[in-house]
Amino acid sequence: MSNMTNQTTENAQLGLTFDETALIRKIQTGQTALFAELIVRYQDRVYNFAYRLTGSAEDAADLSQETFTRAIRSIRQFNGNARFSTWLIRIMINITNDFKARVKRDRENHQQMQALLQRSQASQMVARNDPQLRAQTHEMVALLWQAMDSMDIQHKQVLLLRDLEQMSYQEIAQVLKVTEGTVKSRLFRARETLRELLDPVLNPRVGEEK
Amino acid sequence: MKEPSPGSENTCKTFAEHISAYFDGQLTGEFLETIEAHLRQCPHCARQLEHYTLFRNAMNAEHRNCPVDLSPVVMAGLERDHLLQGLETLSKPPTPRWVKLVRAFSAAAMLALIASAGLIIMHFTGNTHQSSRLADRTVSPAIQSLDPTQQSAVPQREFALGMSPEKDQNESFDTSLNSSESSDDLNNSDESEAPSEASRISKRSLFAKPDLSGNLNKKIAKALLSTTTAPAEKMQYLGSQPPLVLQPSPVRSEQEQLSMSVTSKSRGLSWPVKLVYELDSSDLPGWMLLKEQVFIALMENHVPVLSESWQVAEALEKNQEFFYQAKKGLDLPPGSRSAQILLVTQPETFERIHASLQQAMSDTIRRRLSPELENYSQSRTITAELVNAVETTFAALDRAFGVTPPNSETILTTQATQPASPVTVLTTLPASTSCPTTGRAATTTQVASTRPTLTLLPVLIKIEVGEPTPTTTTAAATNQSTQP
Repeated sequence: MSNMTNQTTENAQLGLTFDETALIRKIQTGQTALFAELIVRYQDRVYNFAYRLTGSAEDAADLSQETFTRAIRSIRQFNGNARFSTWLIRIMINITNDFKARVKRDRENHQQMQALLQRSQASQMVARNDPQLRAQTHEMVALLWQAMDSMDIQHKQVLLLRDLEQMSYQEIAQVLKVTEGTVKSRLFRARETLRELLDPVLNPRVGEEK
Repeated sequence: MKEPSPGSENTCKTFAEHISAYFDGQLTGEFLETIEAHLRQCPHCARQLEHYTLFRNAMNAEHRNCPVDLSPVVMAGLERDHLLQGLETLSKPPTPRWVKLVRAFSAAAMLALIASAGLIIMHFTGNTHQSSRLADRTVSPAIQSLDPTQQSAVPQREFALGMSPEKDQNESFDTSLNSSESSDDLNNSDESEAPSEASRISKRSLFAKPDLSGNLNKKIAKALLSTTTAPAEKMQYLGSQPPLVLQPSPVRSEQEQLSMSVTSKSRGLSWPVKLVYELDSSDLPGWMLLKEQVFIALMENHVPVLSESWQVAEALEKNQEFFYQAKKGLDLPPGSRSAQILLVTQPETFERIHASLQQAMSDTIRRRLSPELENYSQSRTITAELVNAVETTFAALDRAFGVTPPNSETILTTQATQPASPVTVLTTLPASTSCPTTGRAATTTQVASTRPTLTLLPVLIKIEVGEPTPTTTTAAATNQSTQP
């Protein structure tokens, strides 16, 4: 009995509602049809992440579908130690890690991106220092995602996991199967890469920052 | 964590990575204060932090919602997977690579053995035609079934429905045997999985049928192993036959409607019912229709289809719902007269399964009697017998499981009161139906008129359709059939 209470408390800490825990348990014991409920609950979140990861609506839909398909196939491996969303994202990351060709393409895009940003009209628009204002600027958002799409997949993953999914370093380390130290340094490098890529937009006039 | 001292030349450089960690709330204690103090006096580093904030805000500025509801798509794919491979991927523990290799090797050895046996037969009999046919039937169905392009080219629905004449099968086997594609797949099986997964994601459109190539490995291993035991079964099972669609339009539209409603239902099961259908294989069209309907009933009730004995053992141990295709399964190979299925349900949900199956059976019978199928010889005679057999079966099931108000009769009684009936009902499972992996025989303790809770109650019902029989039994059986 106390075990159950502990489990419930742990689940609550992990963001799993009791309902969801029970639901997942039912699915794990064979009532696979209930998985549809989980899909409905998580599909927007999964799709958004997939969309940001792939940069394409079509790929995102496929990737989300594949993620859920794999999730139900291996639902019994979900032990409740992580949030269900984290587990889903981990599956998705595993799928995309198979996707080697994309990395190569991303590297090729990197250079084009630099040139594109130089010419961008937006560089004038986001010269002000208010981060909130800039973030709301539609074009800035678009440019950020462009820059993200041109980044190395490793950097992109870690940034999305942290800033979009708001995962802890520990969770990211689990998802990416690396140490927390690696997460820390990879996040730093990813952010600095992003700053470099967006430098023409962030610092339109040379010497402004000094 | 190494703490840089503030105020030095390279402070900003040293602090840079820690600012990222600070931004993520990872710093504590004195070091946190040091960084905060530095940020207050260093505009360069403050700007770095500002940019990080900007990135995070921008990333969360727009949320893309999923443009479609993925649940029907995913669940439909899952249903199809279940139909094709049971719960293999759900319940099978990952196979170590070396085991795969050993299996592949032994399978290849068996193939070589079969091939050489075929050669020897050819050599001694000189009957090249017959022996090559034999080899084709033994080897090529499995190999053919490995061809992913062919698999995806065959729509699921048609596979469930159709069966080509034997002549066509042999012709297609010959061509498939000559293609080198499948053997390439075999060689590259381990390596090819990841790229094929990747191409699935990129190529497949959202609502396309799930490409089955992802599970190619397992299929290769399974199909190869199966060539030594039951090639015809696998041949049907993997659905690689060019289908002969009997009457596509009415059947399809109805099935589409049925599959649309699949995801909204769920069932929990833990009660086995074994039905053994023994039908004359000359009524293949009727059988295929029946098979299709049974599958639809299973899909509707979310009963996963198992195909391996170890899966049954596992499911029984975990007291889970399942539907098991025994050796011949629902696929009735040419020349075969029997098929075995094992259905495990819970008492409280049995009525639903029962109703679905009953509906399925009556649908089948209705279709079978329709003038569209007149061309098939004997269909009407056999269908009449099928009606009789099915109705009697359900009458027996009704009593056994208390779907209708239970009385003292058991299935044995049914058998006793209808000696002339073409339906033979038995009450125990034969020894061969015990779990092969555990050696544990299924429980045979009860055939109860009241419903036990969570007690496994195996019932074997054997339906034999033989020569046309007088209508007295038909009438008796019809009277006994009940609609819940």
